[in-house]
Order: sequence, then structure tokens, then C-alpha cells
Amino acid sequence: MEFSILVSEFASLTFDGIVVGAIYALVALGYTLVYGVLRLINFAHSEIFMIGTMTCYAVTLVLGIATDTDPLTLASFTLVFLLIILAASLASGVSAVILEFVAYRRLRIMRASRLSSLISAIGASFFLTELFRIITESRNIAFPRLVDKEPIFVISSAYVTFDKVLVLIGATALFFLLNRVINHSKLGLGIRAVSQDETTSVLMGVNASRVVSLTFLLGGILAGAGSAFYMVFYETTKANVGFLVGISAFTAAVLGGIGNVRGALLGSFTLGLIQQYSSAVLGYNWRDVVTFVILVLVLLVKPTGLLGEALQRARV
Amino acid sequence: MKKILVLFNPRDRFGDWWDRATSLQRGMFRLVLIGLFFALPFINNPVIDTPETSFESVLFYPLVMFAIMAVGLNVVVGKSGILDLGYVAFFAIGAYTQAVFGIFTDLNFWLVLLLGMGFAMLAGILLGVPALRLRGDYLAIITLGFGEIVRIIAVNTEAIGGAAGLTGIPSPPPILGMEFSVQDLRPYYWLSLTILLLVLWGIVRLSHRKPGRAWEAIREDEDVAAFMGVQTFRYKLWAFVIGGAIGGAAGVIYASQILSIEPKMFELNLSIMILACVVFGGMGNIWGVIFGAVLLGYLPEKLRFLTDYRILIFGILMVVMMNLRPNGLIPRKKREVILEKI
Amino acid sequence: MNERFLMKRKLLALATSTVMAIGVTVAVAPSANAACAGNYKLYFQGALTGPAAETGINEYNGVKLAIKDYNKSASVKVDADAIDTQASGAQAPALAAKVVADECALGVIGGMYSGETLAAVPVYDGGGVPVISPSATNPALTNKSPVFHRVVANDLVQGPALAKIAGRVGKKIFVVDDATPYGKGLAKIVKLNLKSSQLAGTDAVTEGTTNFSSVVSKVKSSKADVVFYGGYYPEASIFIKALRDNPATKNVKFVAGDGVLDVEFVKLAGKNANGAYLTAPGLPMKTAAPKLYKAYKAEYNKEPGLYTLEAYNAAYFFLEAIKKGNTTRASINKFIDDEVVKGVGMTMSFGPSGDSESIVMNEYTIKNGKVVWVRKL
Repeated sequence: MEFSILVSEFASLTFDGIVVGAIYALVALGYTLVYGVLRLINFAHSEIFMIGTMTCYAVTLVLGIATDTDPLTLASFTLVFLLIILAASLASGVSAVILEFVAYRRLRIMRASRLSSLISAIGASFFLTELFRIITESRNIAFPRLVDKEPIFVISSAYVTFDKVLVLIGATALFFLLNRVINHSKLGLGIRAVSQDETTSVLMGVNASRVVSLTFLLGGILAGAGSAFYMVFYETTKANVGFLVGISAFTAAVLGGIGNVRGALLGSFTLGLIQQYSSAVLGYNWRDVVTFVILVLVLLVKPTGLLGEALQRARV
Repeated sequence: MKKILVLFNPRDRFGDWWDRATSLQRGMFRLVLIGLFFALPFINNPVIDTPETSFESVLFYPLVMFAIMAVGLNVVVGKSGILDLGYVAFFAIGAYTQAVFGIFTDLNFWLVLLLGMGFAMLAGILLGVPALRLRGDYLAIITLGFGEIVRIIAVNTEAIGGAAGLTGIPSPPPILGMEFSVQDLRPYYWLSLTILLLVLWGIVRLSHRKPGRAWEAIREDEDVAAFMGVQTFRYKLWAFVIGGAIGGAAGVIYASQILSIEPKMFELNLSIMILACVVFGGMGNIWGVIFGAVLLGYLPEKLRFLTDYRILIFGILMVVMMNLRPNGLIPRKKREVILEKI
Repeated sequence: MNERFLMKRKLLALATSTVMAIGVTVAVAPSANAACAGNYKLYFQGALTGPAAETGINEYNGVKLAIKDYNKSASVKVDADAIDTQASGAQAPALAAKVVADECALGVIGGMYSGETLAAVPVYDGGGVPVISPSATNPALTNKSPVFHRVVANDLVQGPALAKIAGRVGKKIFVVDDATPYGKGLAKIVKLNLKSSQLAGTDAVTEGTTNFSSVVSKVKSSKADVVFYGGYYPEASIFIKALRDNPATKNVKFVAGDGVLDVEFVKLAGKNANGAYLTAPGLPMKTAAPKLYKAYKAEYNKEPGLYTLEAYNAAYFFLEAIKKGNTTRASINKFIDDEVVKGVGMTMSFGPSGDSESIVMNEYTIKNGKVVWVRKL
């Protein structure tokens, strides 16, 4: 255990931790949204994210960008990136809607037990992971370097590069977008109504099924956009990337208070920082244990998370 | 087609005959059935043989091993309604107990078996006491985390082999003159079959008594059960502990056969597969669960070209089962279904 | 009344006869395995699907080619078969059991990786099936079983060689392993062979790691100028990219073992792979056996892999034994123990510990996106 590294590399670890957290946030928002509305943990949300990453790669294939090309100019990068993020968001969003329709809709209408919904979710998650594992032949997918990663400037030990800034801006922008939708749109009103009380909202004329579908769509779009940022930053993916990122994102959502959008953001940054610091001190191989331990601890000590929302009444 | 899928219940048809049969008939039936299973290695033929792996090996693992674990998980998930996604942890604990004590000490196999079950039960308590205060999804996630934590600790702890695991695990001592060796897997199969029968006997007995009824009450509606005076926490913990003990026992026997273990053998996938057996067979129904385990263990080996798609199919299966037949292929007894309607 | 009595009698008779039938079957049952009906078989154990499939397919191709060449002029024909372990120790024992049960199986070329070999060898040992591995390098396999042999040098040779190279290219060395039996084992040996003044720090990652930023931070703060990675190419390629991206570690030298040496590494890491120092016990087929190289390319229309030559020769050894009239597992094993065989591009003989008696270790590097052989060590 080396604590000295915390001091010497503090700025770098902190900055990288926030960047990692931003990526988790994009996925965590999807978890928290669906939970708020359905009281359901969408186990397969991580695979929706994974589908997004695969779509990003597919776009580069279609555009003919080889893995070894030089980074693009800012102009062409913007164009390519917009294309990627649109394609990924669309793919993930549509996948999410299909997922809801196939795996959850019937159970919701039949008012089946939570157990059934959870098992169905797990089945869907495994199905999607395996499907892509077979498609990719279990290999890692390498994503071309689209943008130059030379540091723009340096703060103490931290290297601020373009892609990191992109991730931070992206997460913040999407968060504000989501807030707008939730609080200032009809859909958002519907989401808030259904998450508060489904039966009454139906009585008040809300089409619950449509709200649910649209919630999944929204969550999927967020995950898809997040996957675009993920790919630019990490430049690699594989079939089970969903599991690895999903557990962290889910922990982040729970840490902040599941069902709470602001909580998801706070939880994500917090978790990102904790992961970076603990990796440096304990060694990277203990990182997953730390994540799980945090998850378990939060659920045991304060299940409502940092922002202390009641489990029953989710607030977006 | 849908009607058949939803209405056909083999358990009911069989159940009617069973109710009318005399104790002699029942005893005879049991004897023949058990005899048939024991004789399976001898009536092996190209029809039932598995192409790439040896039939005896398949009988032992995954068939009977899955069956034992499915029965154990059934106590937790099926009977008590607690979704446990980390069941593989108990299996791993049992296996590592056999490995560590078998390699580094001279303890008798049967003692190690008890130790393995003991450690697994301890783990069940350690996990259950804090976790069982939560409900549904959160409980499931915690059990998932627990399963993963156990595996990662195994990977990172050099003392129990680390990532490379442990090799040179001893086999059980000869029983009834039969040697346990790598070449002949039949004694392992018979041993585990016997253990399965013992476990079944124990569980069936429990189900007819207070614990079984308490579990059912908790599964149907925990709050009402608590109102009616059922000490829900205690019985849930019991379910956990018993399920854990069964998983641990399976692990001990598995390790003694496979001679070397590594953490990679105890991944989340295995928990999901056992869960699939329970779900597919019929949650809460012991016979359905065993049927599910046998089917889901045997088919991928028989149709080996499917093995690569095994988990894919399991995933679809779980979604389809939950949506079309949430009570499994062989659901719980008729009278329970009737009670549900009320 | 009478009816019930008769019924009981019938049932009793039925039950007794069933039990007797089972008893008779038990007594008279033939042994589980029948004698070999068709051609003899040599099995390849390795990954034919999964992340490590490239290496496995290349090895199996070598085996198949050797058997094909042999069959051209042989009276006792041999078939090639394979068990796909996906390079995982979890599946290996059950698959190995099937090989043991197959009476036609005379030997195994494999396993491909150390983990799966360690898991499978006890099973082969129980069945007396001789094993020659072309690429499993973990030292724990030495003296593991009388049936186990390997063509390659083990990590006890590769480790010190790597340590020497690391010491040659830099002063302070940071060691990272991937928590697999191979990677951790190799890293441990490298560490043992470094002076304490040379070791800058250590870290460990897991398979599937994508975020190396904390590891890179540690490398940076340790002021190391060399990084040694014990592990496989998927993670190594991501790691080296992360190192090159960080200005502080951009020029850190990268040293790794045979698990990284693969065309995939260059593909995944791109330009960042250039300049990496790698070792492998394997020989490049082009230099050691040019005729075979041509034949291989003609047959499979692709470049041979890292251990293709070793796999070919391992199969060749078995086939020599069969050619000389050994058609039982025991006699083949004795042949392997005793004889020296001049294969293609290498001469093979095995010591009592199972290790090869001719130790070969090679240094490679990556130049302009190609794997280039540097020298024999």
C-alpha cells in the first residue's frame, strides 16, 4: 500500500477520477431513470450501453476509418463524432425500447412479482452479452484514434487532453438536457407522474405504457451518447464491457440515491474518484472488490444513498 | 399452442395418480426410479451418450452437481422468494475447503465435507444477517456482489493459489470397495447421487413441517406473514444457510473429482445457470427443479454444437419462461395454484 | 380382496424382476470403454474459439499439417482431432476426460496455455495419455507428471532473459502482471531476477482492464524508464497505448513475454507497439524451416503463428513413435522419454522432468508494425 502516490499524483488521479466518473454518470442516469419510473433495476441496461459501443465501431467501419490512421482535424472530427453519437444514441435507444417490449412489458401488465421481472432482466442481459460475444468472436474491438491526445495544458500532475474535456462537457451537457426534459416537458411530466403513482396517473389520463417506452428510449439514448464518449476515450470495447462498466455505474447510481438524477451524477463522480485513489494505493486488481464493497456497504448502511431519497418515493 | 404451454402440467397428472397410489405402489415407484438412475452408466448407449465429453463425466457434472445446487438454490429462491445471484460463492467455498484441507492437511474426506458445508453455512450467515434486511432487487444485487467478491478474493489471495488456483486435490477414500480415480467417474456419480437423495429427503421433510410453510408464507407475501407471527428474518436466514450448506457440499465433491480448481471456474455465469435451472423447472417445486437441472445440464452436452450458444439459450429461456410460464415447466402443486387464484 | 392380493403379488414380482435385471446388467456389464474401432487419433488441446483463438488455430494448423504429411506415406493412418478449451482451465478437465476415454486417442499436443495445461494434466496422467505441449511455459508443469513433456523452454528461462533485457534497456523497471497464472508467474520470476535497485515498483491488473490511468500514474511517479508486463496481448495493447499517451511515460521502454508476442498485439496497439521488446521460446518458422514455411503457406494461405513450428514438431514426435511401431499410450510415452528425434527445424529430446533438453529463447521486437526476430539468447 503506497500512500505517497496519492500525494505526488493527486491532481492527475483526481482529474482522471472525475473523467471516469463522468462516463459512469452517463450510464448511471439510464439506470436511475428506469428505476424511478418502474421500480425496476434494468439489468440489461449495461448491454444497451455495449450495443452503443459496438455501433460506434460499426460507424467507423462504414466510414472506412482504419484503426491506424492519423487523428482527424477538428472539423472532420466534429462531423464524424456527431455521426457516431447520433448513430449510437439511436441504436441504444431503439434497443432499449425493444428490450422493454420483449422482456418487461408483459410482466408489468400482468403485475408479476419483482422476482419475475428481475429474472427476465437477467436473462435479457445474458442473451445480449452472449450474442455480441459470438458476433465479435470474444475478441477485443479496437477503435481508431479520432482525436489527438496531446495535453492541451497541464495542471500540476494532471494532463488535460481534448478527449477528457470532451467527456466532461458531454456528461454535463447531457445532464442539463435530461433535466430540461424531466422538468420542462410533457414527457417529463408523465415520467414524474408515473414514478410517483402509476395507478393515479393512469386515472388522470396518462398513457403509462407510452411513458414507460419513452423512458426506456430516453435512458437508451443517454447510454448510447455515453458510449460514444466512452469509445473516444478508451478506444476499445468487447462484448462484456457492459458488465464491467454497468456494475460501476449501478453502484454510482445507488451511491447517489437511486431514482434521483442529481444523485446519479454525484454518485458517479464520487465513485470515480474512489476507484482512482484506491487503484493507486491498493493496486488495480483490487479495484472491483472496492466497488462491490462500496455497493454492499451503501445498501446496508444507507440504502437511500448520499442524497438520501426515500426508496419508495423516487424523485427525478 | 399457447394453451398447451400454459395449461399442461405434468405434475397434476402425475399428482393424481400419486394421491391414489398405496404406500406399496409409491415405494415401488421410488425404488425403480432410483435404481434406474443408479444404473444409468450401464445402460449408456449411442442414443443417450454425449458426443464430446464422456457420459459418466456428464452425469456427474453438470447433471447431478447442477441438480444438487438447484435444489439448494430452490430453497432460497423458489421456496422463500429470495433472489440469490451469488450462489456460486457457496459452491466455491466448498470446493476451496476440499482443496485447501485436502492438499495441506490429512483430514478425512467426510470431515472435510462437513467442514465445507460448515464454512458455506458461515458464509450464508455472514451474507444473510446484513443482507436479508433488504428486499427484492437490492438483495439480489448484494448477493451478486458477494459472489463476485468471493471470487476476486480467491484470485488475489496467494495462500489459496491466487489466479492459478490449487492442484493436486485428493479424491475421496474408497467406499464399498470402489476406488475414486480419474479414469472411472462412476463412483463419483453414485456418491453425488446418494448425497442428492439425502438432501432431497431432508428438504422434503422440512417442506412439510413448519420451516416449509414459513418459507411459503414469506414468498407469497412477506408483510402478511410477519403480521401473522412468522419470524420472517429467522426463516429467511435458515433458507440461506441451508441453501449454502447444500452448495458447499456440492463444491467439496466437485473439487475432489476435478483435482484442480481455479477461480475462473466459479464465475457469475454458473450462478445464472443454476438460477436458470430453478426458473425453468418450476420455482419452489423440487422435482421440477431437478428436471430443469437435468435438462439444462444434459442438452448442451448432448448437442455439443450448441455449447457455444448455451448461455445465449439460457438467457432467452429465462425471458421466455418468465413471460409465458412464470411458474416453470412443472409448476408448484395444484392446490398452491388454486390458493393463488384466491 | 382377492384382486388386491393379486395386484400386490404382481407389483412385487415386477419390482423384484426389475431389481434383478439391474443386478444382472451390473454384473455382466462390459467395461465402459470399447477398443479402438477406427484410426488412431492425436488430439490438440487449446483455444479454437475465444480471445486466444488466433494462437490456438495456428498451433492446430501445424499439428494437422504434420499429420497430413505423415499420412501420405504411412501404413498406420492417424487422424487429427481437437478439444476446444478456449484456453480456460475451467473446461479443460472435462474435455480431457473425454480424450482419456477415447481408446483411439494415443496422445495430446497441448495445452496451449499454462492454466489449461495445469488443469488437464492430472486427468491425462490418470489415463496414461502422453502429452507434449508446444507452448505452455509455467514452471509448475516441470515434474508435474510422467506423461507430460514440453517442447518449449519454461518461464524459468524466459523470466531471467526478460530481466536481462529489461536491465539492458533501462535502469529502473516497473513490473505489472495480469493476475493470471502465466502472467503472475512470469512477473514473479522477472522480479526475482532483478536487483532491488532495479525494481521501481509493481502493480497488478485483471483480465479485461481498460482503464490503465492509475497504473500509468504509478509508473510515472516511480520514475521508471522500463515497464515489464506479464500477461497477454489484449490488455498489453491497451496498456502500451496508455503509456504512450501520457507525456511523462511516452518514452518508457516496454518489455513483455510470449503472451504478448502476436500479430494481434500490433493490430490492436497500432503504431504504439513499435519498439517493444518481446521474448518467446518459439522460433520463427521462416528462418528455421524454410521448406516447411512454404508448405504451410501453400496449405493454409496464411502466415504461421508463433508456436506453429513447435506444434508441428510435437505432433512429429508422436508420429515418429507411431511410425516405429508404438501404438499404445504406454509405449509412446516411453518412446518420448527415451528417444531423441530430429524434427523439422529443431531436434527434440526430453529430460525426466518433462522439460525439453534443448533450451531456446529468442528476442523479438516490433519494427514498422511487423514482428521482427532479433537474436537467439
